[in-house]
Amino acid sequence: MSAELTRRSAAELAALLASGETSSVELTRAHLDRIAAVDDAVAAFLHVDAEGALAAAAETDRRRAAGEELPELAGVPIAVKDVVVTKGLPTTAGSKILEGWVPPYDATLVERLRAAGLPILGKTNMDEFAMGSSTEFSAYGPTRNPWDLERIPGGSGGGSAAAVAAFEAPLAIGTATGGSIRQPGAVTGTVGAKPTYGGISRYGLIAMASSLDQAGPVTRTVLDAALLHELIGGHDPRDATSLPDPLGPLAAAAREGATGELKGVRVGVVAELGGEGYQSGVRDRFAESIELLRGAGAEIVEVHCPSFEYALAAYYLIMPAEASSNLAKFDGMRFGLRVEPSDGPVTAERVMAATRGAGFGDEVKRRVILGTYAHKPG
Amino acid sequence: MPTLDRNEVARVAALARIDLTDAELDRLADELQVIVASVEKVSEVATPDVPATSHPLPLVNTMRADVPEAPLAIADVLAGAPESEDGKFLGPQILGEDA
Repeated sequence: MSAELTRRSAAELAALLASGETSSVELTRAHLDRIAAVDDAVAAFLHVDAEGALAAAAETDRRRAAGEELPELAGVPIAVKDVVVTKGLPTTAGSKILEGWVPPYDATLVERLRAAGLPILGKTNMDEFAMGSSTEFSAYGPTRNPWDLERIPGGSGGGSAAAVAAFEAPLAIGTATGGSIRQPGAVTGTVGAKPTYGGISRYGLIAMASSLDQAGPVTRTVLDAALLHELIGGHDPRDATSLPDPLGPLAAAAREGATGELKGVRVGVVAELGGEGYQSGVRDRFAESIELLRGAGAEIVEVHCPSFEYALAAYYLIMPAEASSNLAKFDGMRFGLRVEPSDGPVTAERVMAATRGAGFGDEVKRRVILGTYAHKPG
Repeated sequence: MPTLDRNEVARVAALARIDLTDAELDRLADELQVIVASVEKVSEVATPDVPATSHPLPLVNTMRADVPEAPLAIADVLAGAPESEDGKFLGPQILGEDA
């Protein structure tokens, strides 16, 4: 039963829980067993919290037995990217500068997961401070693609995508600035969505570039992504960029789409993204997808975004500039690593420089330096 | 395009409060060109008469109700600090010995 359970989608597991055919403790144990069996090879997790996950599972089982009305995904275990703070669980963002730090509070989305009764299996690996597209730039070593351990799982959220692809977790949380949810999803054959800016609270996400950062679902099916999105999304008074309006009916749309009937759905194809630079096969598969959508009744329209030509240059300015400001707080004073200079006076300023020099990896240093330079007037 | 040298990188690294090795300074000198090139590219369209955009959606800061909430427990916060004393963060001196 245990091996079969880990192969099911979250929606299927939720149905098994609702009908009493399995328990959250059984589900959680099955996934912890799977992690123990494969994660030495995949390295999707930086930290596994077996005890905490099983305790949360038992509590959800108790609530269900007591007749409490629970959200659909209650009891389905989940993995959380290590850039999202979790009270009582180590959070490093893949960096040595936060090694051993245990946050004193939960991100809003984690609070919502806990309140809904989803056991948190552990924290997943990522490129340091989400800066990368391969999960090779974690200070704690690379994550491998479960389909082929010699290949990358994408990044920066390679840990979450690999955990879901390797059946170590039915659900995971990712975050994205410039593709860190969707690109690992594509590379591991899983589903990832970057929500509309402001759709999911960022309170408790360790920020890289605040004009672009968002959290989102990482799953194996579109319906699971929609269910998780609905669960963690919606307005949060603690995030000033949070959209005040409620989310649309995402799960209902996913269920409708799953019938194979897409009449009335209009899909835009961006003309400017049809250019050069794709690996052979990628554009063919994309064209096939368009034809599948058309065959299912969707209306395909070409749309134009003439300023896309400037997008990469804008990203190369906005991302490091904001990252250099956001990472200024890692200064060796209030949390994480503190390193004293090897010689000379031990002043606050010199301790900051020594700490950041020792605690940040190459890519983080590069982006902070680029961003500081971009901020320079003139 | 202005060329960037190691001294420029060292100055920026000092502003960013990051100790860099000589090898890192050399490597980054080349990479700063990305910023120069990106500024030039964006400047083709982001001319002075284009108003600044902070957000693509018609969203202004959404303020929460002004209701007091319990702050984090001091002991929990200080538990993650490199050093603390008397319920406060403890850091090195701000000024040098002679100040």
